[in-house]
Amino acid sequence: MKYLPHDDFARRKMLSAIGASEEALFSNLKKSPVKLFPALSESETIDLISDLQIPLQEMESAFGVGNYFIPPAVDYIASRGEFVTSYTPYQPECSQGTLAAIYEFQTRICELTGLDISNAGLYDGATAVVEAIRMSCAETNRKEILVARTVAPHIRRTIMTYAEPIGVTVKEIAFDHKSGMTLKKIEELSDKTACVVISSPNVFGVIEEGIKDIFCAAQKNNSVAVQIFNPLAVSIFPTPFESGADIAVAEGQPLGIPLSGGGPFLGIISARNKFLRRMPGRIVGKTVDADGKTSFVLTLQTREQHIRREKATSNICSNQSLMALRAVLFLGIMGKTGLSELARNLKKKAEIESNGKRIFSGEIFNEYVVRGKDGFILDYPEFGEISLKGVTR
Amino acid sequence: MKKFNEVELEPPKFYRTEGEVVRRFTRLSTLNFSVDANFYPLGSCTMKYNPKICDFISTLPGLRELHPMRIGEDSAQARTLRRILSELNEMLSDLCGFSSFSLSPAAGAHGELSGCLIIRKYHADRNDSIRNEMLIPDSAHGTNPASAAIAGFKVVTIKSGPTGCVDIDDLKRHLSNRTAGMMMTNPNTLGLFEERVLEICELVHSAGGLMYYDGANLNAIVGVSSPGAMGFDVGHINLHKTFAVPHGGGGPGAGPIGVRKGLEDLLPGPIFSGGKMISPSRSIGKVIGFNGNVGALVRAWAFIKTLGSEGVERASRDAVIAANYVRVSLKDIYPSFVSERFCAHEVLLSAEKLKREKGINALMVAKALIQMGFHPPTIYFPMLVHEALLIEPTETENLETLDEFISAMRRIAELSLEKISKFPNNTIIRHPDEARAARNPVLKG
Repeated sequence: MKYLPHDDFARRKMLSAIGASEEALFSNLKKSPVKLFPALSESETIDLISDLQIPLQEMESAFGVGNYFIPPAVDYIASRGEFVTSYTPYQPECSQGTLAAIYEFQTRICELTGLDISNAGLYDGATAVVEAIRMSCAETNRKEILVARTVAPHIRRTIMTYAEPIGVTVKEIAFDHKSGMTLKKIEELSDKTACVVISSPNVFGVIEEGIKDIFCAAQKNNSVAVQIFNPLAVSIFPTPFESGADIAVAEGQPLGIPLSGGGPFLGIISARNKFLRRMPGRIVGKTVDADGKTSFVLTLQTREQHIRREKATSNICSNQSLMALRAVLFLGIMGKTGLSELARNLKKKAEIESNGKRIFSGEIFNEYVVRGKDGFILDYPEFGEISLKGVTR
Repeated sequence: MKKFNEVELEPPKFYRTEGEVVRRFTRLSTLNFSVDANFYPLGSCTMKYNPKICDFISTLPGLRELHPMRIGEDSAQARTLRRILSELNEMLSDLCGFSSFSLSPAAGAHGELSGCLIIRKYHADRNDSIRNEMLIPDSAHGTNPASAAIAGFKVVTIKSGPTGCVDIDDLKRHLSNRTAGMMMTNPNTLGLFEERVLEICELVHSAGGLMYYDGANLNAIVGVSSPGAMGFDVGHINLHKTFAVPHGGGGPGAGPIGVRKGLEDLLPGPIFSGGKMISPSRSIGKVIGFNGNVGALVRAWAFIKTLGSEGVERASRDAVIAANYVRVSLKDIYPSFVSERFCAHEVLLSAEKLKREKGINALMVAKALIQMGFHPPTIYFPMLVHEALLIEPTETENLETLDEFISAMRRIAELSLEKISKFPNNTIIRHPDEARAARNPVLKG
């Protein structure tokens, strides 16, 4: 009860001002008894979960997420109550902290992808892919999408959930079983293809060397080129812009975000300028105030659900601000040099570790596939029992 | 501390040291209002105090370092986590009068979308796919129609009657064999208990549709009543509202989706139950990459455990008492067409009278509150009321704070138009040009 300040005296005072009994306030409500359970003290509560105090210290990476190093300054700043206990920055005069952080996030993400625009963040990598698909279908007015089979199974399953209800057909693009890379020549491209989704690095950890050719063919076909990228890998491999992507999405977890058994994570999305009006979620823009001073505000809200309702570009009305803040802090502390150093180290370690055990010949970043169940089981029946391993440090 | 100049608000090209990063973001943080530092009666958003034990639990190493694909394994940490999440599922189900919850959705709107997909699959599985219309009251949050549309439904708007509640006659006119369901918030976005909710559920059910409960305002009723008792079939909870998960500047939150008995198999997996992870047999599919926002889920678990069942009910009751206290204390100056009646956890007032008499509108009231150190209420929503001021004091603010806020609101009405137009003048910026931001978007530095 220690969160509630009122005693009976205060309640009586308020009720007498209201001129009603407490029960009268709830007279329109059908009562529903709940199972009784006691209020635990803080120490009793913590005792119940004492096992969670034991570190796991597993330093592997799989499916693009892992226990990557988080500089302590990230936790230090991201646990400040001014960031943790504020809401969406609707009132710019008392939210410049969050707004400036999101603007910096958008800036850093565009630096990573080389593309023009970004937003304040989405739920996670998989749902960010779904948003990119929705943007592509709206832009092209087409209802078929091609997704590389080398896109992680959990992402492809998430795509399936959202595609069918809006009449979008999903087709898979095959890959070369020796290199682990998507086939360069895509037979399935047609005048129905809204977009082509390629992950590089892909779920096997392999860099898709043919991505530029594939995207080029897609764009000739007036389809949108969507790349799932890795925010750590882009500092040593071609950026989505260099690969020719129109929209780039990523799981932002490696950027200073703990695993937490599955989330909260951070969906990153970035695109060419022409997709600005189709971007989902919150966007922060720069402007000036009444005195001509630089200020930040939420902008382009006419895309959003609270104004456009059923015609909105997306139903998303939150943003993962606190996770975006962590990413900004991580990127700021690491710097460009720190990032590429980290990426090069991860790549080198993974190459040494996987030497002679890797089943795909394509160049890898920090994850790789081996025979057996030694790592995270991968659901590709055509290869029998294989699993995914990777390094985070 | 010296105020920022405009150069400092702009992100630097790069940082030379960690110290520069810490200095910049510490100073930026002081430019935010927050629940920790300010009264934050932002209607519809439930800015209650966020207990710190909840944050503490979310940072424990056995949780932080657990890979999402290892949550089903046999380590002590994974077992504990599955036990907590199963218990959360049970507690939420009991509190909502539902049979089971999927903890996967990452936000309220994400829960809505998952719920709409459940309703869609329910009809499809019965070979009743002609049902493609989702009925939504005109007072609903914008996410409702957006979620329904993205789930493939045609949105049919139902009018509100003169009392601010659903117009039953308009509802009856729109029910048909194309009705897939209806999405409702109760109490609704005007802060009113829907008087005829039982009747509405019955009408929609007899037309063959399912009832969806938007749990945005569950914090007014939880422990007293429940969506299940009212007759709802499917619904989400905003854990970041009712169960005190901090809002984090807009996220992350969590929007678990629950169903009544008979619909459990349609839920998005995984389901945590009895310490195990279950994949529902006729599931709509995965709605997120991994297991949901576990870091938010454990916070809600700790909140409910430390509050206890009596505390959960007391919290709802105190939230409603506080909102009504604010209502009677301000309704003479800021009357709206609902302000004479009891409200639920939030009160919908209006600056219309003040605007008529002195030219002071809702935005000016908001900016004057900022000047006085209060976060403003939600303004211009719901749209059914002109110059809307939607005030949600929550149960965690003491009487002195409520009285200070009331007194500030009364003082604002005394200000001259000339004076109030200059507010705020004690913040880092004032009256940013939002039209310019949209006309000429500058979205990165």
